[in-house]
Formats: sequence, structure tokens, C-alpha cells
Amino acid sequence: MNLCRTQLKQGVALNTVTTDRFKTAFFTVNLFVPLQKETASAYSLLTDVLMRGTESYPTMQALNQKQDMLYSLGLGAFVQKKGEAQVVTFELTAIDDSFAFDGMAILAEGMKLMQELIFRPYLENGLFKADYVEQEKKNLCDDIRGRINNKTAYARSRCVEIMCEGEPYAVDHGGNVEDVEALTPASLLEAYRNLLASARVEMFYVGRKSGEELAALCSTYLDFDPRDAAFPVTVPGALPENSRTVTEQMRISQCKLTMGFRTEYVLQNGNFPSMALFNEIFGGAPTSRLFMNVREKQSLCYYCSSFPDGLKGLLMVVSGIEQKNKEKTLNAVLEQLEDLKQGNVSDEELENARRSLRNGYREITDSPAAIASWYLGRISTGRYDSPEDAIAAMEQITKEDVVTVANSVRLDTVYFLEGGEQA
Amino acid sequence: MKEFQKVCDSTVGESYFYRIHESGLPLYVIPKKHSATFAMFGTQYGSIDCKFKTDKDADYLELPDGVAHFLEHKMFEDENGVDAFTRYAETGASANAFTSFDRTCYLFSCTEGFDQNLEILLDFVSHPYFTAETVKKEQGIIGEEIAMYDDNPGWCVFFNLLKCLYKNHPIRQSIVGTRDSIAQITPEMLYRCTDTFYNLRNMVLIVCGDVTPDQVNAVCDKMLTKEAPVVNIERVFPEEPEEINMPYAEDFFEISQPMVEIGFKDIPAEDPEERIRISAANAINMQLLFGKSGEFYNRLYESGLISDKFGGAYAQERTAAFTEVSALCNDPHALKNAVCAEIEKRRESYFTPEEFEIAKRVVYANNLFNFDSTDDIANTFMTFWQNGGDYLSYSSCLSKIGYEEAWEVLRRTVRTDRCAMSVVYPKEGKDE
Repeated sequence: MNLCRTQLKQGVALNTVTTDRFKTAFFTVNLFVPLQKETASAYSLLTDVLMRGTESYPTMQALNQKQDMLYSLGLGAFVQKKGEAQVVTFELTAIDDSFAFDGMAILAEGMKLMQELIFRPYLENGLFKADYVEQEKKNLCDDIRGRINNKTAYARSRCVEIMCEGEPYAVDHGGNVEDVEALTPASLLEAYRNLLASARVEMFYVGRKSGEELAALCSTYLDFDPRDAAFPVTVPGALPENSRTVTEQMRISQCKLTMGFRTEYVLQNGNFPSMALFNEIFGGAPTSRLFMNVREKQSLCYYCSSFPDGLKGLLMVVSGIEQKNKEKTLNAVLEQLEDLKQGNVSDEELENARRSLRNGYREITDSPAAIASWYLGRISTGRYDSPEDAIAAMEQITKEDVVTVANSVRLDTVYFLEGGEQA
Repeated sequence: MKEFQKVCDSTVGESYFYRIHESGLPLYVIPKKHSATFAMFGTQYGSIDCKFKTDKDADYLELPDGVAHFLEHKMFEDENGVDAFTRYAETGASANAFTSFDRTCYLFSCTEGFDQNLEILLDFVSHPYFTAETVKKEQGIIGEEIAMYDDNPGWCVFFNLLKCLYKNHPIRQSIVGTRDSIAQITPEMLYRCTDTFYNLRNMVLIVCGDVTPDQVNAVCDKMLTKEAPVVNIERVFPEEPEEINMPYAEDFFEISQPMVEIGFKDIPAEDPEERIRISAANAINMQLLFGKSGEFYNRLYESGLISDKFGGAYAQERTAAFTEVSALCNDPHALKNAVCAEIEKRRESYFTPEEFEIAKRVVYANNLFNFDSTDDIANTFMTFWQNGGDYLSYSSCLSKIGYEEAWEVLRRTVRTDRCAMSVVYPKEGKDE
């Protein structure tokens, strides 16, 4: 499951994992650009407009029909956030050629379709079709407004937004309504050209074919020009002196508690394995401190868990609680952190966390999308550690390292989303 | 060495081993060269099994809503107060459980120590332990889980649809129950449920991964030493009319855009093979009717009525079946009219044979995608098994579905005279 990496051109690389474990092929083209408010909305809208049609398949229906012919080939375009980079991703999923009952070269056909999607969008009079742009603007604005529908995710992203205000990390990679509404077919085309010319290009493939076969397909169909493009840099924020508490209201029945911590543990520093192990003990595993104490012992919630961001160095704690238990839950979480700070980590607890992490890392190798996502999240740090490498690094982490992490994380923002009126 | 029966399918290139263990538990082992091995121990007992007795009981027991799910939570704790998660922590396995309409499943996925993990799984699921005190503690946790669902508009719009489609069938009740219903749960009630449904003959063990059938059998030999008694479970379902209960329901949530579910009630076939055939035919029909390459989806998308948050599916259990079309849409009634008109039109004049063949190809490929994930394989395997079918033969069953046959299934099972709609509107949109 090791990564084979080929620098195709300056600023353009192909990463392949060749394995016969799967019946499918997974391929993505990822364009890395800095996460900025000025461009985030345009790139987000762009992925939707590009999916509306290409030169040869000028309507969504024509494009989808072609995909059906290629054994339900999945083709998608979307934006994601990797630290302070916005990544524009074009994704292809297909059954392996060997399962075609008519001998079709599905992957090659799919790459050809992706070539159209990326390089030959459907234009009218040299611009994106106005109807397509208007419809997708409306759909995207609906999506953005729809973020309130999932209260847990909404509370978490609001907390990050408040905590990182003024930093690129606070920018929503999916865009915002005001900026989306201001976009025109002309401004979108300009954004498209800038994106293709300037982004750092990282392609990933997981499947049965070899790196050489993929390199040949890429040079035929996805021949990006060389570019002087480095990965956008993610800056972990300074550790705060004090924390703040923000409360917002919505007509909901369950109160959401989100806590944002800052840390100095990031993948790019090579010290992330300590954080990974600490997090497993604190709130990552189902036998973590938060699960066993806040949920099981105190019955305060159904879920209470923690997640680190390995690029920005944040640690988030999320829970859904009764409003009257706000302070009680907050204190219960902080008590567990305090206990870890005091060095109360048993050998058993440490070894359990190791086993759980080991299991989690190894499971990654069972899913093509998870493998590609693992490397995509790390590639910008210049480290191409495999899940096995991460296991080896984690095995070296000691109890003292974990306690050091506990003592170094700083609470930055406590965010409550609570019911303003009875739902 | 115990004899396993081996079943292969060359279309998907997979096989499985099967036997009934001496304890009465059916064992299925699906070899797969993955890092993690997935095991699922399931009982055919879900939220809809709420009135029952065995041939050894005098009276029927009628349960409040949410007992199967509550029981799932409580199974994790043993008489020493030790949580099964704590035992898994010693092996590193990732463990979980879920309850649906017709089953409760306990599962784990592990990359080392498979035998030990399977021992834990078989042990805690076959050793119920409940007291008034542990039941009370769980009421707090599940109360918060219920509150979480109460804020989930997708959950609400779905169950409101079921309430529209069904008058009496317990499928209309939320799987987790309500705070009031779970307050009625007693240890005695839970023990009667485990005595009835956690009988190994009503259960199944499905393992998918890099293990041998003998290995699985050996752990079963060690852990399941008692032969389960042969009992006949009688489940009572209230009389359910063929007609829908009511055509429309609405609710209001803090959301941005209306969520819509349109349902078409169907009556599930008695014969398991027929049910699988209908499922396969309707998988093709749903692709034809509502697929993203179809004329209908693209027409509605371009008119602005729907976005890509749109889909149609046919759901089927032994006792209930329906077609479900879901969307985010600002004009739910216009959407309902369009969907019904499309179904009417296609009942009269079906798709072309070419369109039919391509839809079949899509469903074939989508099924193949499933075979890259051990938990997808095991879960779907259990669905088929419970329906009296065999997942591995689904591909060949699919390939045998003919054009006329699929059309006939559409006419028979997707009926616009049994249509209901559920909408959740944004709160701001509510007429005061």
C-alpha cells in the first residue's frame, strides 16, 4: 500500500497505489490553491458549473448518459479544505476493466471524459452558459444556507469560524452567499483560467493498474502545463492566553457544545503522532475519557468526542447535551483534560489507545477513497508516510509524550448553540 | 473438521462458506483479502417486532416503542458493570451496533486478534444482564439520543412519510422510541425479549475478511456450548390496509429549504424469491425513472424545481414495502404532481429496450462497487439472508430480469393511487 510518486512536470505530480485488493479504480485530480475569501466562492461554484456539460457532452444528461455507458462511472467535482488550502478535486470511480462484459477500456474512457470535464467545458460565445451559471449559483446558495440543517456540523464550523476569525482557516471552502451571488459567467471564466494555470496539481490513483500505465494515460489525457506552484502553507495560530465563550441561539431541542483548542502538534512538524495517541485517549476512541466519563458514567450525552486537525493544529471537542447541563458538561470535559495533565495515564490506557489507532490506520488500506484521502491530507507537508509508517511512529510515543500534549493544548473558544425558544 | 457448504458466484468473483453450528447458530464466512476482518452477529429482532410470543409462552407481550434499540445499548454491559467496549479496548477492534426495523446487529472490525474479538462478541451478546438501576442510567443517554433525532429534519420527514403510508404497522414508529415510551421499560421486559429473540436459531453470524471457516467454527465451539432450544416465535402485526393512511403530513424545522419525501405504498410478496426478483426489477426501474441520466431528472433540474439533492429508491422488508422519492425542493406539490405524472406515463408507455439495457448495466456495476467493502458485503448479505435470499446470486438474478418483466413489476408495485407526501418546511415559512 505504499505510494509511488512521479513528478510528471514542474508543479504536477502523479501518486499511485497499485493493489489487486479492489474491484474498482479510484482516480482524482486535485488542484491546490490558497484558501482565500476572494476566490473560494468562485472555485466552489466552478465545480458545479463544470459538471453541467462539456464540448462533446453539452448537457448534464448527455454527460450522465456517457457515464452510464461506462458501467456507471462516477464522475464528480467538488472543493475540500486541507488546512489553509482549498483543493478543487475531480474524482473518478469505476469498476475495474476486467469486470466489463464487453471488453471496454473503462478507465481510459473515463480519463478521456475527465479531460473534457477539466479542459473543455461547454461554452457559449466564449463564456460559460449563462443559464448554467445562474442555476448553479442558486443551487450553491441553497446548499450554503442549508448548512444549518445539520446542527452538529453547523455548530462545529461556527466554532472554527469564530475561533480563527481573520485567519484563512476561517474561510468557508464551499463559499458564501454574498460572493457567490456576485459571480458572473465572465468572472467565473477568469477564475477557471487562473485555477488551471496556477494551481499545484496532485493526481492520485488507487487500483489494479501500474504507475507506468497511469503515467501514460495522464500524458495522453491530462497533460497539464508545467507551473511554478508550491503548496499553500498552513500557519498554526498562536496559543491563546485565555479562552472565550460564545453562545448563539436557534430553535432546537438539544444544545450543542463545541470546544476549540489550539495546539502546536501538526503533521508538518513531525510531532503529530503524539497528538494522535493523546486524542485517542482523550476523546477519539469509544473507550476514551470523554466517552467513558461524560457519557457512560455521568449520562450527560449520547456523544462526546474529540478530533484533531493535523494541518492547522486544532483540537475540537463536540457534544449534544441538555441545556441545563451546559456548565456541568463543560467542566466534565475539562476535568478529564486536567487529569491527563496530572499524568494519570495508566499503561493499560496507553496500550489500548495504541491498539485502537493501529487498527484504525490499518483499516484505511481497505478502501480506495480512504487511501487516497490519507495521502492527500499529508502530501502538502512533504511527507508521504504510509499508514504503516504512522503506526511505527506512534509505537515510539511514550506516556510522557502524551502528558506533554495534555499540558500544551490551550482552550481557545467554547461555543454553545442553544434553543432560544421552545422547539 | 466440520463440513461447510461452499457457494461461488463467477460474475462477482466471490464465494462464501455456510453451515449451521451445533448450537443452532447459522454461520456464514465470506473470504476477502483485506487488512481488517468484519464480523456481524445479528438477531432478527427490530423495532417492528413489538407484539409476540413463543410457543412456550402463555401470553403475548406488547412492547412500548424503542425497546429493541434500548436493548441493543444494554447488551454491552455485563453483571460486573464492565462495558463490552472496554473488553474490545484490549484488542484494538473497532466495535459498534445498530438497530433497524427488522434486526439488531453487533459488529466489530479488527486487524489483529480476530479469535479473541469474536469471543468477546459471542460472549457479551449471549449474556444479557439488566437491573432497574442500569436501565435507569441508560434512559438518560438514550434520552439525549432521542433529542438528537428530534432536531434531525431528515429523520422527521422520513418517519412522517411512514406515518402517512401506514395506519397500524409498527414501521411508522421511530426506532428509538420517545422519552415517555422508554421510561416504561423494565428489566423483566428486556429479559423476555432476549429469551425470545436472542435465541441462536433466530440469529446469524456473518464474517467477512481474511479468515478461514474452520477458525470461525472453532471459536463458536468454544463459546457457544449450549444448544439453543427450538422455539417457534409468533410475531403479531396489526391488520394493515392496502391503502395509505393519509396523503400528507408537514412539520417545521430550523432549516433553509423544504425537505420532501414522496412515498408509494406496496404490499410485499409472500414468496422470498419473488421479493428478490421485485427488488432487482425495481432497482432497474428506479434508475430508469429517477436516475441522473434520465429525461425526468434532467427536465426537472433544468426547470429549477430540483437540485442534485434528489433520488428514488424501492425499500422492501418482509412485512412492508414502498417506493421513496426524496428531494430538497421549494415547491413540494409541483414535485409530487410531476413524479406521479411520470410514473403514470411510464406505466402506460415504458422506456425503450436500449434504455432498459443501460439501466441494467448501471445497477450491475453499482452492485459490484459494494464488493470492495467488507462491512457493505456483510450488511447486504444479512439483508438478503433475512429476506430468504442469497446476496451472491443477486448479480445473476439481475441479469435475468427481462424488459417486459420489469415493466410489469413497475405497474404492479409503484402505484400512484397509494401515494403520500411528507414535507418539512423552514420555520420562517410557516403561516402564523
